Amino acid sequence: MQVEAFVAATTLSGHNAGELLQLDGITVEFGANRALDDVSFKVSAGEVVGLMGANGAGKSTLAKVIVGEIPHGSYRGTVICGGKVAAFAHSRDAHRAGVALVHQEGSVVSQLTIGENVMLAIEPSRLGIIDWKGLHAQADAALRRLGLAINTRTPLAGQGGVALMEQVEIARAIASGSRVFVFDESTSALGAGEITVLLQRMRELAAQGAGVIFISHRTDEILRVCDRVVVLRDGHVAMDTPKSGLDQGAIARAMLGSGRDNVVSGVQSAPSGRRETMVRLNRWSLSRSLESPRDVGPIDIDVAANEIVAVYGPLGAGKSELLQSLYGFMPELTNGAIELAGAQFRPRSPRESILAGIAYVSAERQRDGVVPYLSVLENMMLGWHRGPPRWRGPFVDHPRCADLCRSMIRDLAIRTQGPDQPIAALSGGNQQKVLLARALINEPRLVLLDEPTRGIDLGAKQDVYRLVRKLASTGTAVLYATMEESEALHLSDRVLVLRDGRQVALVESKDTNPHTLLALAGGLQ
Amino acid sequence: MTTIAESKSNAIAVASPEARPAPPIRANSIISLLRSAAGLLLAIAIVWIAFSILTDGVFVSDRNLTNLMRQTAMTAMVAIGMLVVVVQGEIDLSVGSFLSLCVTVVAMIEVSGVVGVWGTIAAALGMGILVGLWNGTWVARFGLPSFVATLGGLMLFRGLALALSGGRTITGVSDDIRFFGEAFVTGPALWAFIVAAAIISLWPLRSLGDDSQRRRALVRAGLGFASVVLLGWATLSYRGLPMPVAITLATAALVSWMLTNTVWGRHVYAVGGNRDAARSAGIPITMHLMISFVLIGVLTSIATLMLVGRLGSAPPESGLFLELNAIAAVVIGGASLYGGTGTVSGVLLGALLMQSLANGLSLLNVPTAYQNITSGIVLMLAVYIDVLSKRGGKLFSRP
Repeated sequence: MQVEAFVAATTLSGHNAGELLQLDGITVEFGANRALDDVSFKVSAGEVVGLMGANGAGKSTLAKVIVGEIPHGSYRGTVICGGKVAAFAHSRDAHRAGVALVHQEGSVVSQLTIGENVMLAIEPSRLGIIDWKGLHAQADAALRRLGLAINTRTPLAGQGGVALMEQVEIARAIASGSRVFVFDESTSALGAGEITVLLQRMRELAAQGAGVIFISHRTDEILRVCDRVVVLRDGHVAMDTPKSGLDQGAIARAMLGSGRDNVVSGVQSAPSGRRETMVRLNRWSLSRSLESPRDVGPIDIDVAANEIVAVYGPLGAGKSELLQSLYGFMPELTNGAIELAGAQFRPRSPRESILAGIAYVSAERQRDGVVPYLSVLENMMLGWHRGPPRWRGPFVDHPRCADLCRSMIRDLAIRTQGPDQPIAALSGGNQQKVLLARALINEPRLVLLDEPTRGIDLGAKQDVYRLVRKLASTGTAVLYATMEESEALHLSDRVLVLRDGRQVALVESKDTNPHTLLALAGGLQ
Repeated sequence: MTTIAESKSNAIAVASPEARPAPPIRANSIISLLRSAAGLLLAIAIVWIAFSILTDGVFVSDRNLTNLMRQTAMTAMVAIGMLVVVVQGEIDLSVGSFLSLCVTVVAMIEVSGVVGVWGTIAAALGMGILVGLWNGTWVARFGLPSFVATLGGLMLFRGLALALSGGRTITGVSDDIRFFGEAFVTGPALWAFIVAAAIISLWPLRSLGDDSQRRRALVRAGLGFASVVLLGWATLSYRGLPMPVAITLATAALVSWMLTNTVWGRHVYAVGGNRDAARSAGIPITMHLMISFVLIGVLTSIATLMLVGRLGSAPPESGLFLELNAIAAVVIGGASLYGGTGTVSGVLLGALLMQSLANGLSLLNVPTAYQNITSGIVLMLAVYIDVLSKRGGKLFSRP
């Protein structure tokens, strides 16, 4: 019934393609810090607006204002929604006004069924008693509009897939009659095929009369889908231009403010011939279990001591599982052999792997990485198991740790007030650098990096790339998992392509182009 | 329990639900049986058979079963409220102390004789609502962790109860209140109750038409109906259905139905399963937490009336460890303390299992000390089985 209402509203809007949402002079201050400064822009029906900006430019703050998570009254300026001044005190008020946020990783309750998730908080009911038939019919209708035919009575648990969770969330927004959709980095956890589908959905929503705001780091996606691009820099609108005539360079200049280049710095440090093999995988495989839902392998690969091998594949290809198995996370599920610096090695736990000279940085920075209440120094020292002892008897050797931490802060260009600052106060990119420092402190021989540039800004990305190159040049083998073709090709010497857990190719980066990689991973060749 | 692979194939096979491939991943099936409701029933059956042999059949006599039911009723009543709190990822440690406070106040009102039985009932329920609002305010409005807020309540309410009673047992409760603890449902009312229970127990059969649900429906209906037959036998051949048991079963049926079929009930699972998702979907979290604390408060008030009715007095130590027994019943019944899962039927069975042990050991004249030891071990084993099944049968957690 609400779906029909949406359709009806859509037809009406065909005659009146007015503004759905207008922001006027929005200013938000957190203490002395001005997160947004006099930001104004509009979203019209039928339009996809790309919202870009480096980390800390104010994108998330702006999104929070739009969806009511920053309540009316704690910012200056006005939000006009559907012709009326919107005074959202809650995200609930924004929902009622037809503004929906699609979260980065989908916001769902895995214990409930798919249908219940789609209709969460908008269940059809009489006297509080749920009309189950109506609920599943409406959920099904909303999912079908997204081109999905799923049994809505199945529990969402174990269906996995960020893509499905996001689709469920979009279906919920459709079913609740939303007119304005805010996609917050919704593609960051998706594979190439899933991204194409999602971008197509955005266009369809716009074609049906909705207004779409797409927040992303990824210039190519913004250029693929958006009609207009708004760039924020330091809380200001730095650019608000229709897409035609825009290119990556112009957006990057607007984001960075200076002439800095955004792509992986083009010049490849020519590898001075590969050195001796550091790690050799021989029919390495991982069987599925409750924790890792797919078989991975068998993988056969040698990585030289000064080589970067990118592990490339779409979401669900088994990249993370491969790296985790090498780090000793699931010893009972692995088969095959690893040779590390000429000796047989069997990873049995992260601790043993660290002692053997393996380092790992998880893709889930917040979940598996930082301990938010601890300082930069403590976070960095958590993983210190090699080298001279950090203890004097039972006590922390604070001066030594502080020296080491400071030198890491300098080497990795970590922007922090110092070793004692709580890590939660750092930006995402700088937190990631602290985690890289944690991995490097043990002077590893093999470094496993799982999407280390996910969700961090361009400047920090460049720093990470430089660091990875430097690592390789000093004799460390690097396995670098990524979903981005250009990143895989520009950074690495070779690319290991995975599809559904299987090794489908091992190619030289300099002889390969992004289309080949996509085709290999998509099973087209 | 469906495995991941099963539910997945279920979702994809839109066109032909029966064409399901054999699930490639399966947690140890014995373990998954053990942690399901059938497993709990199995555990109860084993305990009952063992005690029946050891006591020469006294344990399964209609008299002892009636007694066992009555002993279980009060804990189960509170545990139903605890379930709603725990499913939302919270906890209420204050129920035992609140019960003792409420018992004291109810007895004092009764002794003073200024209000009739309805006044006493209203006072008890009113206290339940007030205490629920008190706990809910500290947790949902002021943002204290519920563990801390209700730990405070645990100390505070027992202190108040002791201050009011002076540590003495208050006696002189009217016969009207004794109705809640001592009366029996008999005759046509009992028959009506049993028939209603039988209909409810056979309710799963309505999904017989659905091939994928058939076996589950048959098992559920069979076990449910067997329980009703047992209940009918024990109550019809002895003095009838004890009033506390009738009240608890009716409450259980109502709450169970509300949790599965009302908007409020489904949102309880959403709030506990993923609070951020619930919030961003527009569910009012504060109100939900508030309601759940009020609910457990009211159910504890009803338990108070049962206790005062049974004892006819208000001993100062009443309700000691009640919160822990209620939490044990909830956890044994399969709910997760992290929230999001748990059922009323599980809670009833959990409470029955714990009480069966206590009852049987008492019949055997085993000292309380050893009863406590047994309960503790059973609790840990039950939860260990739950953990095992989630870990796919692996004995040890990862280092």
